[in-house]
Formats: sequence, C-alpha cells, structure tokens
Amino acid sequence: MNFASIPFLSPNRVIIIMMDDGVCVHKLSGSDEIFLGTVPWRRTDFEEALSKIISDSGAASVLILNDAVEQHYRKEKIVIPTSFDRANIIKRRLNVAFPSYPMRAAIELKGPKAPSKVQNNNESAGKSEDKEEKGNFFLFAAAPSTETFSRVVRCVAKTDCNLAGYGLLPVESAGLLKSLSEGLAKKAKVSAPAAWTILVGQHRGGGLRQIVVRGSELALTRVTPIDEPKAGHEDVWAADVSSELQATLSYLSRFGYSPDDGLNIIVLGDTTYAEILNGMIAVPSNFHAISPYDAAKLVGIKLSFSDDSHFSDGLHAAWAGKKFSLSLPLLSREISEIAGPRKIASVVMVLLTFGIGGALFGTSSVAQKLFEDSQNLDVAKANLAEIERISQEEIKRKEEMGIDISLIKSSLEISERIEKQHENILSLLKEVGRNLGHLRLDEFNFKNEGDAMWSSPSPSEKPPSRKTEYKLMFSFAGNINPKDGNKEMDVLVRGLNEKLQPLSYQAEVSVPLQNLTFSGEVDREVGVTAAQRELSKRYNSEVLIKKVEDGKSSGK
Amino acid sequence: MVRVLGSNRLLFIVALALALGCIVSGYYYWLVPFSEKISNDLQTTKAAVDDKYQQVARMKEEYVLLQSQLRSFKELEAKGFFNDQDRSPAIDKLDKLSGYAGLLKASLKFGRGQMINDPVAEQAGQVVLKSPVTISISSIDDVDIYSFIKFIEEKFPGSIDVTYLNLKRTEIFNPAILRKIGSGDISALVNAELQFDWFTMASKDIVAPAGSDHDIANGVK
Repeated sequence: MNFASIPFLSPNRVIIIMMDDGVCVHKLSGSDEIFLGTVPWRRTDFEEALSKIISDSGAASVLILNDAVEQHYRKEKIVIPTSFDRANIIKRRLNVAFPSYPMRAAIELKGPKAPSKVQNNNESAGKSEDKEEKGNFFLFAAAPSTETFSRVVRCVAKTDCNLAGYGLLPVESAGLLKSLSEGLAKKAKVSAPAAWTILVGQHRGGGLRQIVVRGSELALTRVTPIDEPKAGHEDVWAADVSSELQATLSYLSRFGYSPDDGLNIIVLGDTTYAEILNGMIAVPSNFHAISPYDAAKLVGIKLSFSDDSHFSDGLHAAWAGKKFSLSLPLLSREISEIAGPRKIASVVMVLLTFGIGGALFGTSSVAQKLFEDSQNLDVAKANLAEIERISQEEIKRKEEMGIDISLIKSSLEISERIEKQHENILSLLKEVGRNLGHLRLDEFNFKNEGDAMWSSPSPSEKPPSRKTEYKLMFSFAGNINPKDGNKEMDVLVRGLNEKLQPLSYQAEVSVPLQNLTFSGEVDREVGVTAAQRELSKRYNSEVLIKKVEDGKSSGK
Repeated sequence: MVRVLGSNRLLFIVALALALGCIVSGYYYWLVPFSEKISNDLQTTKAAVDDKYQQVARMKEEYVLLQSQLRSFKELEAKGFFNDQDRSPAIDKLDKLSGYAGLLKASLKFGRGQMINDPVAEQAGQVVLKSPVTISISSIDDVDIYSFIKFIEEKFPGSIDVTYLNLKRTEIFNPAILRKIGSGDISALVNAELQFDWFTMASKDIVAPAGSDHDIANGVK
C-alpha cells in the first residue's frame, strides 16, 4: 500500500516539466527538491519509464508544468459590469482569443501599469492600452492539447498519485523573479529595487528560458535553444546567452520599459560561465550571476546536491511545486477525467479519516468513562462489602443484647400515644374534693368520648381532641333559701376554675338550685300562713366540668 | 473507476470505510451498552452503599437511643403491656384488685375484643388489642371505688383508658345505716359503673396467624 497516495498524510509532490524534447521529473518533499530524471519523447517505453519514476518517487501528487515553446499569451482588457457575469465574460473572451486551444485560462493583472502585451518567442508587442478606458487587464494563456501532453496524463493515470494541476512554467515562476530580485537587492543592500527583472536560465534539454516580469507580473517570456556550456569554452555559452538577452532587451521598450524603472538581470547557472556575461551587457542594470543552488537557498528551497549546478529547471519546479495552488491552472478533459475522481476520492478519504478520528474520539471518551466507572465500581463494591460487614457486626451486637429493636420502638410509641389520650380522673376529683367544703356530692358522672388509639405520623404530633365531661350532682335540703344554695354553687365553681382552668378545664353551674333570673319559673308560697317547704323536698344542682381545647393539656 | 482511481486508492478507501464501520459498530453494539451496564451497576452499588450506610447509621443511632428506652420498655413489659388479653387471668386480676379496694361487689363484663392493625406495631410484627370492659360496683364508701380505679390503672396489665364512670350515693350514712351494718346486714351505700378500654400488644403470629379469620381493624384515629 502506497501511503504517499494519501495527499493529507504526505506533502510529497512530483513535478513534471514538459519540454520540447521530453520531460524532466523533479520531486519536492517539504522544501527539498530532488531531480529524478529526464525521459525523452522519442523513447519507445516513455509511458512505462515515466510511470515508474513517478511511482518509485513515493509522491502523493503530480504537477505538470509546460516549458515547451508553444505557449500562447495575450493581454486583454475586459469590462465586467457585475461580478456575477465575470466568469461567463472571461470564458467567452477566452473562446474568442484562443478558439483552437482547448487548454486555456486567464488571470487578472493587479499592477497599475501592467505591460500592454506578453509576448512568447517572436510575437510582437502591442501598443499600450488607453489608461482612461474602463476595465481590468487580464492575462490570457493557452497551450495546445498535444499527444505529448496526453501521454504524460496517461502516465499519471497509471500511478496512484493525484493530479495536482497543469500550469505554464513562466506564469508560475513570475513570483520567483520577484522573490529573487528582492533577496538579491537586500543582499546587495540596494535601497530602491528595480521594477523590471529578467531571469535567464538554461533548462535540461538545452532550452534557454528567459522570463521578464514587471513587479511580480509576467511581461515577456522566451525560450530559445542554445548549446550547453563546455569546459574551456566558457565564452561561447556566454556569447550565445548575451545575444539572446540583447534580443529580449530590444523587445522591452515595446512593453513600456524605461531605463529609469531599473532593471535586474539575474542569470542562473554555473557562475563560471554566467559571470562572463557581466561584461557583455551594455544596458544599465543590476547584474546578478548566481547558481541555481544559491538562488534556491535565497527563496527557501533546498536543491539536492545531485542536481546539476548549471540547470535551473529544478528551481522552477520546486517553486511551482511549493505552491498550494497554481497561479494559472489550465484545465482540460484529460485532466478532469483523472483529477476529478481522484479529488473526490481524496475528499472521501479525508471525510472517512475525520470520521474515524471522530469515532475514535467518541470511543475513547466512552472508553475512558467506562474505565473510570469500572474503577469506581470496584471501589463501590469494596465499600459495600465493608459497610455490609459493619452492618452485620451491628446486628450481631444487638442480637447479643437479646432485644427486639422494632418491638421496643413500636411498643413505646403506641404506649405513649395511648398515654397522651389518657384522662386522669382521680387527679381531677382530688381537686374537686378540696373545693367541696361542707358540700356533699350525691352523684358523679364522667364521660370521655373518642378513641384513645390514634394514628400518628410522628410521636410528637398533637393527638385528636376528645369530648371529656365531668358532671357533679348535689342535693340541698328543701327548706333552705335557694339563693343561698346558688351562691354556694357559684363559690364552688369559682374555686374549681381557679384550679382547673390552668389545666384546660372549665367548670360551670349547669343546673342551679332554682333559676332566680327572669327566665326561671318559680313556685313558692309566702305569707303568715304559708307552709314552710318540707325538708324532704330537696333542691338539686349540677356542676359541669368540660375539657377545653385552648389550654394546656390535662394534668395526669 | 478502478483504472482512474487505482486499485490501491480504492482498497484504501474500502479499508477506511471498514475501519470506520468496525469502530462505529463496536461503539454502538458493544462499548455503549457495556458502558451503560457498568454505569448502572455503579449507580446501583452506590445506592446500595448509601442505603446500607444509612441503615448502619440508623442502627447505631437506635443503639444509643435504646440505652435510654430500654428501661421504659422493661417497665412496659413488667406492666404486662405485651398481653394476649386472656380473660381468665384478667378476671383473676380484677378480683384481686376489688378485694384490695374493699368493694362489696364488682360485676365484670368483657366485650368482644378487636385487633387494631397499626403500621407502627406492624413493623414489629405486633398488633394492638383493644377490649371494652364494663364493671358494675357496689361499695360502702366511694373512696373504695376511687382506690379500685387507681389499682386498675396501676396494676392491671396493659393500658387503661376510662371512657365512662358513674358514681351514685344510694344511701346516706346515718345511725340507722350504722345499726344495720352492725347487725350484719351490709348494704351498699355507693353504686358505680366503670367502663374502660383495655389496650395491650401481642404478637401477630400468635393472635392472628396468617389465614385466620380474626377481625383486624385499621388504625383508628
């Protein structure tokens, strides 16, 4: 299983530079560039060889850069009324500009004074656009859909790598020129960096690639075949490059170049050959001859030692490969057939991986809780065993005492409840006896209604009230004055209340000897001959003592 | 599809999907139920520990309380509170008590007793027995009747709740009555009727074993 095919697990990327003679393959791993090899188009086992190089590289994705001669650029000014129409308008204008090239794309130029036209090879430069005219400048680019490109795509399809994109080397390296010029200016301590930069470098296969940028935007690019330098003939290579550079410089004025803008000329290559060029350039410029290895270090890339010290294609490949996305990606049916499903597969893999991550997180959370619960359960079981042991000891201790706890508690509570309802007759009669004086009790009646047994949720609750009555019945001799008798009864009741009211009892004369008030019926003889009432005709009187609610409980 | 994506990529996707499926199914069908079971066991055990702890605490508290209640219980026991209200010893006891009080006559009448199913008593496997008792008394002096009531309250087994008392002087003590008594004709000067409820506790297994047809009244309020 090749884990390198999972893009989010490995940042490795293979960069295939398509040249006129063949392809040059580099690998970028992190910031390290490694040259993997070249495969010429004419090789009969081209596809197998290239596929093997890609597969053996262990890279996750493949980026294809077009470094061939046939690249087409055009600068267009487009008026876009609304942002909704932008894509359609650009697409339509691209169709008009490059009707016979299916792989095409556009990028908006941000610079305020963008070059009027980008020329490839010997295309003439156009005149400057009217600055007063409304609209934005776009760089249109196109490349032909050739059989060579199809072969490269088929090679990628045979591997497990994703197709990261297809771009044009000069466009993607435009930013490299800016970074290099800034880095060199900083190194040379130049206060005002030049606006124009020309990068000259020879690629494997012999092509001399010249890229001209203004600021960071591509202005002009040329590729011309020249011989590779040979030891002992350093001036031959320099003379070839010088003549090509002079041709490029002659184009620059058409693109709005002015000597006042400043010009950087950066020659990438073996400094043994490149330094000679310095004396051959007549135009005022900041000349820098630098090896690709040092140039790569300047922009944060590490070229492999195995790479040749002269060719600069590795630097371009590493620069483009480092990008998260291409500046001007070209689309085609072949790319979509491969890249689309593989991107979807990558998304699926990402989602599945996140799903696994989420599931593992959820599982680990539950597992952690399970672990904690298991440990707590062990502790709880130990606690239960310990408390059970204590409980058994307690039960044993009480059993040894030979008592029934429930019986003690319940019997005492029930007894207490009954006692609370108990009426102490003798205690009350004792108070009555103390207050009787010379009176004699003929009859005594006591009633205590209600049940002594009552349900109570708590022993401290007040018991239900009962109707408790004491009735004291007296008789008086028939010959006494009933008024005196009534008075005696009143005195008795008064005396009883003094003692009994604090005990929540209330005494009253319920039946007087004779009712001498207006409501009473009295039958008596008076006068000289009136017969005295007989002794045997007795007067009866009653005193009623009742228990009342709002007082202290009855004394026992 | 295999040609475009490559077999390795497809296999990797399938492996990821299988891994995800395994993890998810393991999560839902094994881990979650097992975790819930352990969690429930933990809660149950914790609840059992709490219950047992409270039980032990209650037992310890009861033990301390018992030290103070034990004396009252012994007194209650000595007073015959735990009694199945057998009428024969009760009659003997009242007979003795009437003799101590010096009553001329006491007619005893025990009503039909009933069992009161009190929840508190139920906890101890006991029932409360309640019997109505009516005593008709003849005596020379009312003091004897008061003494009799006092003796019943103090010496009769269980608890007594006097519900009714009627005391009536039938004769006035005078020289004629004194002579009558002196001649050997002892007639009552005071008659009384005493009614009380007799409460005791008895083991439910003894007085109302399971399957018996004894009346058990609900708790009375």
